[in-house]
This record gives sequence, structure tokens and C-alpha cells, in this order.
Amino acid sequence: MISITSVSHQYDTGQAIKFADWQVNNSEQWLLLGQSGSGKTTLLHILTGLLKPTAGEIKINDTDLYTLSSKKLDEFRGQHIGIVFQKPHLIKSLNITENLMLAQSFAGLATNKNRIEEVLASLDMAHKKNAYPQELSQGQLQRVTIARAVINKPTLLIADEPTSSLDDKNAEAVLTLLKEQSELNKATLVVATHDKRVKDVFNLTYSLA
Amino acid sequence: MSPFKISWKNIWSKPLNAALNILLIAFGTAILTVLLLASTQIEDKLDKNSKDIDLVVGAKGSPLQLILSSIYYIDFPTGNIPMKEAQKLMKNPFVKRAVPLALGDNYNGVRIVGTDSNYISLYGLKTESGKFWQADLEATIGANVAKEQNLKVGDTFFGGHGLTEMKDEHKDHAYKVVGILAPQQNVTDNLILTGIGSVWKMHGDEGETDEHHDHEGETDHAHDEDREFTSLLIQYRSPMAVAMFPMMVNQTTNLQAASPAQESTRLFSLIGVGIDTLQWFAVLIMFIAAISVFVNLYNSLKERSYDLAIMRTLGASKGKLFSLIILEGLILTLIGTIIGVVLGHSILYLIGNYQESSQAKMNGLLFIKEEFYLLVAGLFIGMVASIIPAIQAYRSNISKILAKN
Repeated sequence: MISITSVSHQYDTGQAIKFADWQVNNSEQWLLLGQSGSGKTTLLHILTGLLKPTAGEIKINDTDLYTLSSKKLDEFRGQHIGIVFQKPHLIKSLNITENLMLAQSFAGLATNKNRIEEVLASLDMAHKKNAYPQELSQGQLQRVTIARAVINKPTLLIADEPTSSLDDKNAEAVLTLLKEQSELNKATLVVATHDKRVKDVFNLTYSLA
Repeated sequence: MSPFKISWKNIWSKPLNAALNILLIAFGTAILTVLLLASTQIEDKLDKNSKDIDLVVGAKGSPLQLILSSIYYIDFPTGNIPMKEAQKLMKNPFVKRAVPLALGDNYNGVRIVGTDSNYISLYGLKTESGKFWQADLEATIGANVAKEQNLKVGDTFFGGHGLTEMKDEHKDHAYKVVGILAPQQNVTDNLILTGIGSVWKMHGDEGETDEHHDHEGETDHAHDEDREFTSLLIQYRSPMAVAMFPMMVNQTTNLQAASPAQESTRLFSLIGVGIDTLQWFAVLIMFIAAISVFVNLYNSLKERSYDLAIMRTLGASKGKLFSLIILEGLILTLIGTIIGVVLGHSILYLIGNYQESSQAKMNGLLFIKEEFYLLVAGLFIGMVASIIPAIQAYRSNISKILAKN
């Protein structure tokens, strides 16, 4: 479970932003709604341990993120947080299986090919396991980045604008995949977006002004 | 996934860049390897061949030429010296051992050296088969000569006048091979040794009628007083002689004394200028290689900043990214240096194969411990070239990089 308490952040430019407290329970599925420039990405980065806020406390599974050392925080992120970015980005020099193995070993876990096969199969991508990123379509790449985000069975699965560049049909497909995968891996899901199409799919919403 | 595999795969995702870097490093290392091996081997050969010889006495002329002809058998002799005068020097109390040499003939380019039994003890020679020469016209040949000229014990051959070509053969007298030397790893492997009397005989000591005697100082008479040597190899009895004996020879006789140690040093300092130049050239290439590795890593870092940020989100620590970049630099330079060392040995091996002068033949299969330093230097260059990109990767602000995209 995730809690955000009295978090505020001041940018290099001097502009400050305050975030309302937020409690997320296990296996809930949330929408993080906000216009661009409202601090969505900032909050996501704070939530994933990528950006230390000026003040406040973030707890994931009772671990206070920013009390961890830099190295421990990286490892914690690798093991407990899966992130899906707007643009699917894989390491070009490695094939799909190797990209997923990379996620396992960077998180400090043993590489497990069975788990990789399992996740790829659940996303209908098993036939592409030896392909290189440049051989895949945009939609296929999106699936692989979702696979990479859930490979280590994270506590928290975060998606940053996963639908903004997709048409209605594909946007729906990606959301379905995210919801399916978070249920399958018993992960809490947070989808950040300004996309109105996404609204109806979630009943829990955290809005940024 | 091991960091090595990640770095390795990334290097080869741009094969042309990688190949260019490796090529530059390999060239620099190859030149350095060749120089290192060649100068070590030349120095080694110079030392080995003049090991126990303190002084060479011969006819006046260039001291370097005297040393080259009497110790390394490369250049032409300076001329001849009268036996009477030489014998006076041989009896000098400073002299422990004096070996007379009579040069001037060859067999298919292999020099025939007339000398006495002191030569055997001076070089510590042993025979592999047969025996040492005793009677006139008996010859004991070096190990390489036996191999290359296909001579066995019992074979006979005619010597030719001069040092390089078989122009005027001494058809009257045939040499007989009575022994073959064990390989000595010095100049004697490539010589034909015989008694000094044999050489005199060739040049008409007795019964000569129509032979050529066209070089100066050669004697046609059988009288001791008129007989000549080419030079004397001298071993001192005491260190005192170093100061006294050469001066005495140069001032009181018509002869010239030259010290192999001094002349080798002089020779080497002459070659050394060329070696130094090439060395700096190689260092320059290595420097360019280092810059090329640096530029390559630095540029690819810009393209890869998003990759690296993703790696951080997957749990890789800053230190991990740092080591990945360093590893790439090290892999590139290590491959380059290893290829360079192998290339250097192959080049030297080829040079050795095509070299005519067997006295200074290079061996490409010889490894020396200094090459280990080349590897270390290669790794050091890889480290230096990749340290700045690695620090940048370490310091990069992933939140900013991710937010930009």
C-alpha cells in the first residue's frame, strides 16, 4: 500500500507545487488525472523514487522511499515498482528476452526464463521473444514494455500517459492490458493521464489542479 | 545478464565505430610491439655475440666497421694485419686469450672464418655431430648453415672469394665438413669455421699457380713473416687492461683497437634515433585512438541517455551505469591491444622470414614480459578515455531525461 503525506516540491525555476495527501490500498486501480503542466510527471517521479521532493514522505509497503540510500532506492524501484512510459522504449542492442532479463538482473533478482515466457505469453508476445526492438511494431513494443514493467511482480505498476498517442481502439486495448496485468500480478495500478477517454474505465481518481 | 554482455552487445550494435576504434588501437600497439621486440632482439643479439670479447684489434679504419666485421660478420673487414705484430700483442701480459681471425671467403654467402682452437673456448662451442676442425681444409659448420645449405658431415664444398657472392671459386682445394655445431643462439650458428691455415692455403700458401690474389695485403708467400690475420679477438686478463691496452695498441702499433661494448652502444644510439621517432609515432596513434574511443563513447552517451535512464528505472544503480561505460572502453582497448600484439608478432615473423642477413634474423614467436605492460597501457587508455563519459552517466539526472521525452 502506498501513502503520500504532505509532499511538496520546488522546481529549479523556483515554482513550487503542493500535493494533496494520498492513500492507495493494495490491488486498487487508480487514475491520476491532470492537464499537462499540472505536475503529473513530477508526482510520478516522486512516487517512483526518481525525484526527491523538497518536503514530505512517500511510503510504499511501509518503506519510506527517500530514507533509502541511492543504491538501495534503485534496487527497491527495480523490485517493487514497474513503470510504463508514454513512448515504448527498449534497449536496441538487446532482443526481447534479453531486455526482460535486464529488468530482472538490474533489480538484483536471478534471471528466470520461465517467468519471461509466462509474461510474454500472457501478453500474446511469446512468438517475438528472440526479436530485436526494431523488428516490432509500436503496439508490440508497448506490450513488451508492459511485460518489462510486470516481470518482477511489482507492488506498484505505474503508467505515464500510456494512451496519449494511440487511437481509440488501441488506447482501449492498452488499458485493458494494464488492468489485466495488474490483476494477474496483484499489483496496484496507477495510470497518469490527461486523456478523457480513460476516465470511465476507473472509479478511483486522484486529480491535480 | 552480466554487465559484460550488456556492454559487449552495445559495442557491437555499432560495428563500424567499434571496428574503427579497435583498428586504431591495434595499429598503435602493433607498431610498439614490433619496436619493442626488434630492439630487444637486436640488443640481445649484440650483447650475446660480444659477450666475452673485450677488444678487437684490426687494421686501421672505422672502429665500427671492425666490430661489425669481426664480431657480427656483417660489414667488410678493414683490411689485414701482419701476423708478426699480432703475435706480439697476443703475448702481452694484459691479454688472457687472443683469437686470430682470417676472413675473406664465403660459401653461398655464408662466411668462412679461419681461426684456431681458442675460438671454441671463447664462444663455448659444442659439436652436435662430428668433431672440430683440426687439419687444414677441415671445416666445422654452424647449425643453421647445415640446415640451410644442406651440408652433412663428410660433405665437401668449394669456398668462394669475397664475402657475399660465389664469384671466384677456389677450385683447387675443397673443404670437407668434419663437424656440425650444436645451436648456440649466436652468430656462430651461421658461420663455417676452419683452421686459419686453410684460409692461407686457399690464398696460395703453397703450390698456387693461377689463383686470384687481387685484394690488398694478401700474401703469396709461405713465410711466417708475411702471413696475415684479419683481426684479433681479445679477452683481458684484468680490468686494468681496459684503460691501458687499447691506448697502447692505438699509439704504439700500426693497428687499431675497438671495444665491442663502446661500438655497440654507438651503433645502437644511431638506430635508436629511428626507433625513438617510430615510438613517438606509435604513441601518437595510441593517443588518437584514445580520443576516438572517448568521442565514440561520449557521442553514444548522448544518444543513449534515455537508455541509461530506463536502466535506472529498472533498478540499475549509478555505479552500475558508471561501470558499464568503463567496461565498454576497456573491452574496446583490450581487444585492440591484443590484436595489436598478435599483429606485431606476425609482422616481425614475416620480416624474419624475408630477411636475408641470417646474422640479425628477427624471431616473431618470441614473447617478452614488456608486452604485458602494453596490455596494461591499453587498459589504462581505455580507462582514461571512458572515465569522463562514465562520470556523466553516473551524474545524469534521470528525472529530467525522462520528463523531456
